[in-house]
Amino acid sequence: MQSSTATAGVAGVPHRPQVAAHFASLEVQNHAARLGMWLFLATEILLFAGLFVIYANYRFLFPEAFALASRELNLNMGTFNTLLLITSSFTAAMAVHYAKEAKNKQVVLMFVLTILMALGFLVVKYFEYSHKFHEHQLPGPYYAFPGLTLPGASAYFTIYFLSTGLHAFHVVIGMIVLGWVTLKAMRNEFSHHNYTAVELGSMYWHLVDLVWIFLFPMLYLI
Amino acid sequence: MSAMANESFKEDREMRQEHHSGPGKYIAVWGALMVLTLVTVFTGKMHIETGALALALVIASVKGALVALYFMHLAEHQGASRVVFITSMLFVVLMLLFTLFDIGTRFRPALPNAATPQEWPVETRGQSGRYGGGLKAPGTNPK
Repeated sequence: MQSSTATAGVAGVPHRPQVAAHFASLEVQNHAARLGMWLFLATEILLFAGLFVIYANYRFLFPEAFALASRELNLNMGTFNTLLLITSSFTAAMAVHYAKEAKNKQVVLMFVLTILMALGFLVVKYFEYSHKFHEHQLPGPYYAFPGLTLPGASAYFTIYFLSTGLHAFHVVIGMIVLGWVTLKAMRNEFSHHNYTAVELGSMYWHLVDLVWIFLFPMLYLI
Repeated sequence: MSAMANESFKEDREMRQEHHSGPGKYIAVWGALMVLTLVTVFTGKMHIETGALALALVIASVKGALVALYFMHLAEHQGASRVVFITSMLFVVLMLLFTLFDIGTRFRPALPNAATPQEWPVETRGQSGRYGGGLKAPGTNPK
C-alpha cells in the first residue's frame, strides 16, 4: 500500500504512494484500505460488545449492588476523562482535515495534542485505579471492601476492571499508532494524494472514543 | 484489464461525487458532544426512577452516531463501510437482546442464589405454570 520509493525520505518532495495493478485509481485503493479498517473496527466493536453483554446480564441480576457500586466511582474524574477523550477525538479529526490540505506541521500539532490528552486520560485512570486498589474494590475473589457487601458488588468491579482495562489497552495502542503517523507527518509525507495513514489512524482513535462514550454512562451513571 | 479492475473503475466514477467535510463541521460536532456529555452527567445525577437507563442509552447512541457519521466520515462515504458498521451494530444488539431474553425469562430459582432481578411490572399467568414456580394449593392452579 505505502510502497516507498527512493525519493520518499527527501524533504519537500511530496510522498506519492504507488497504485497496485488491480485498482483503477489511488482513490479506489484508499477506499479499499478504509473498508479494511472498517472490517477491523467491526471486530473491535464486537470484542467490546462481549463485555457489554456481561454487564447487561449481571446488572439485570444484581440491580441494587450495581447501582451502589457505581456510586463508589469518582464521577468528576470520569466526566473529566470523557470530555478529554472527546476533545482528543476532535483534534484527531482535524489532523485528517490538515493532512488533506498537505499542512503537515498542523497534522503533527493535532496528533501531539491528541497523544497528550490520551496521556492525561491514562494519568487520571491511574489515580482512579490506585484508589480502587487502596479500598480493596477489586475484581472477583480479591474484592474486600467492607462498605458494600451486597452480592454482585464484586461482579461489578470485575466488569469495571475488565472493560476499562481493555479500553486503556486500546488507548495505549492508539497512542503508538498515532505516534507513528506523527513521525510520518514530520517527514512531510501527507498530501491530498496520500492521507490514508492519517485517516485510518484517526479512525482507530475515534473507535476508542466511541467505546468510552458507552462505557462512561454504563459504569459511572447508574 | 481483469473483471476486478472494471468493478474498480465503476467505483472510481462513483467516488468522484463524494464531498468532504471541513473544520466547521468538526467544531460543531465537538461542541454537541461536550454538551451531550454534560447533559448525561446532569440527568444521571438526578437518579430518575423510571427510564434513566433508556435516557442514558439514547444520549450515548446520539453521541456515538455523531462520532461515527462525522469524525469517522460515514456521512460522506457511501457503500460498503456503512454496511460493515451497521451490520456490526445489528449483531451487538442481537447479542445483547437474546442473552437478556434468556436470563430475563428463566425460571427464577434457576438464577444465581443471591440474585435480585426486577420483577415484571405485570403479573403474567405464565409465571405460575403447571411445572414452574408459584404453585398454590392443589386444584387452584390455572389449567
